[in-house]
Amino acid sequence: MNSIASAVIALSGLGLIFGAVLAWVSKKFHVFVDPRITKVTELLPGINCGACGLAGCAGLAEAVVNKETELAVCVACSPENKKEIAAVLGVSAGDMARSNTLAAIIGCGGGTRCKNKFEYQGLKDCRVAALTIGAHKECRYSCLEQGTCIEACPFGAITMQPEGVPKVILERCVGCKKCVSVCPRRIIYMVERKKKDVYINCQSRDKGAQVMKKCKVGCIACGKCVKACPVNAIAIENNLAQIDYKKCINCKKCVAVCPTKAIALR
Amino acid sequence: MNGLNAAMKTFPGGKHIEGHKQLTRNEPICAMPLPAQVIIPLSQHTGSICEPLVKKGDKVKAGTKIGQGNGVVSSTVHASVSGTVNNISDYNHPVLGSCPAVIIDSDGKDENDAQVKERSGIAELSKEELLAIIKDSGIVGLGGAAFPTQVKLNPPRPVDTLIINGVECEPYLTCDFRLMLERTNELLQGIQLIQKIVNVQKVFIGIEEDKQEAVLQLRNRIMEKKRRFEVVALKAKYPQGAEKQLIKAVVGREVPPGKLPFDVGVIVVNVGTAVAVYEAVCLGKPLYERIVTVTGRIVKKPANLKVRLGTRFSDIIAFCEGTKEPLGKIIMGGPMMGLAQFTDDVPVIKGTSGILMLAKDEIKDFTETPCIRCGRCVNVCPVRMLPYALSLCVESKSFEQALQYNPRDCMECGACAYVCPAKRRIVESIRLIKAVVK
Repeated sequence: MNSIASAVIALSGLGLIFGAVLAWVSKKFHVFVDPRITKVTELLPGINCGACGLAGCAGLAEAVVNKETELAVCVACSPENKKEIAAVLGVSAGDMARSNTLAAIIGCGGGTRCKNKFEYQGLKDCRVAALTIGAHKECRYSCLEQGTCIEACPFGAITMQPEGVPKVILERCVGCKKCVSVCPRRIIYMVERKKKDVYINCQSRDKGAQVMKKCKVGCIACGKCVKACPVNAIAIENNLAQIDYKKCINCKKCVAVCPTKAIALR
Repeated sequence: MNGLNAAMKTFPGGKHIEGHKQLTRNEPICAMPLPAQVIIPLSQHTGSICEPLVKKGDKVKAGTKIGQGNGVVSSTVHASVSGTVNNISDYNHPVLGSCPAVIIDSDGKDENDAQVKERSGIAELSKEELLAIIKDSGIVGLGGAAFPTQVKLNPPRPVDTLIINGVECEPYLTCDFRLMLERTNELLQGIQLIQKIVNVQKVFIGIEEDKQEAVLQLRNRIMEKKRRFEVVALKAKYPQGAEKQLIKAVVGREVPPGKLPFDVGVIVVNVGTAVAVYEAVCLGKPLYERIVTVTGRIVKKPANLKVRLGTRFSDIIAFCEGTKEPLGKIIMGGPMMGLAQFTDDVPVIKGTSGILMLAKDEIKDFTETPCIRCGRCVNVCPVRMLPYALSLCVESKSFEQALQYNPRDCMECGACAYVCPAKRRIVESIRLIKAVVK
């Protein structure tokens, strides 16, 4: 009985002493953390894509609260959340709420419709495939189908289509350009996301006859789209149609006339 | 026999690989009949691509210059047969996949260009004149990397040692071995010319022990001619033919990472290149043919052929009467660093040391399994890297982390992948890292 009592007393005594020390230490060595940083971190997307160039979303939150950078650098955050962040920081929504207006487009419809030179059996990465005797596709501008952009996308916004080429899901794409930077063929480009649905689904600068030999869906530079466009927004440069999105009115007439379906809708 | 039985020189790491050289080592070099058409790619070397000097319909002769490169690191290309330029267009290329090429229809006469004639007064030629001849003759390193020889022989700082590379460590290949046996005198004259250009006293010829005949013959011939070249017999080990490994094996100097052989005062030249230098300087003959080993268990008539550059693989295979069994793979070069081809409609280029044909059952299945950290790759790596660590970095996509393992030191010899019991794609992983972090 006695021994139990002494043990309880000793332990509670120790507990009290340690508790007092800890309470004193936590006051004495307190580090002030701006509560706004935690709030802003919560409002940011939290996928740490790194597109802002800072160490993840927490790094960006700290930088934004300390006014070291603008929230506009975050391409992933939705406009609503940006407004809330502006409210937390007590600044006007204006600039802060401006979100990225660009979205990625994968400019190749090849895949199974573009001929292979040989079967690629190496490491499943486009960057290695590109180094293997000039890659396995007949067309030297085509997608290499190993899905490196899909892996690189932090938002799961790219999926593989049954035709063997990846496609960007517009609603999920935030325009961080990660996919653009990993593509060895440089066929991913950025286009205004609003309203403009048409895009050139080919990057081949080869002459029409050569393209036809290699690929069923390549741009053969026939010029039908140029004639069909009511606002002269399409021009052929280096055997490839180019859309001037400033002029494009999204009438989709070019899609209808394209004989190889190299102009597509997203 | 002195030296052959003594403790053999070699480099640390590496691995002895079954050579399969008996298939062709006793086949004398034989000249292949002229092909009906040759395809001369305008890029056959390291450096800038050549501009064509001829146009469709032009008449050319063997040795006519048809392409000239701009810039310091570049070379020239020559017609390899006499005939008419059929076209200049993109054509299959064994390394680049596709490349602009001059296609020449042979007229069967095999006339030489007027410039191809024996040169007199060679002893009076200065270093600059010799280098100009080498550049004009389109000579590049014939070991495989095809680096322009005039650039290599003109290092930015003086060197004291010349090493002639007769190692031929790639399995199957025997073209350098036959060359050393059959063209010993030309080789020695070529070495003397190179020695004069780089102005060195010490000349070594590195040969692996499994080519004893070549070692002995060269030693005898050197004694007869009273030259001061030293033939060094090396322990047979892959990749001894790599420049930096050969330097370590022969003179014991180590080339630091990111540096080149001349930084340690050495220049390494392949035996084929030395003979080409002799032919260019003394006979005035540009580099338009080379020796190619055509080999493989299934080849009906394996051979060492003297082939005109631009000859299609299919013509050569037909000359060797095809294969006994269905073909599984055609490889340009040896099985370790060679490149598998997707078609036999590719031309022989300056770097084509061999054409290896494998049957379906000789091609191993490549199912990658997890790394078991056995460390065999670390033991064999000739540049003392940690190949497994790099392949794990690729698996976890941590390319930044991979930088601490110095991926750029890797020369992609493939010894790590060869010994890997888990069949991991280590070389490809390292190539990926190099491409990502460049």
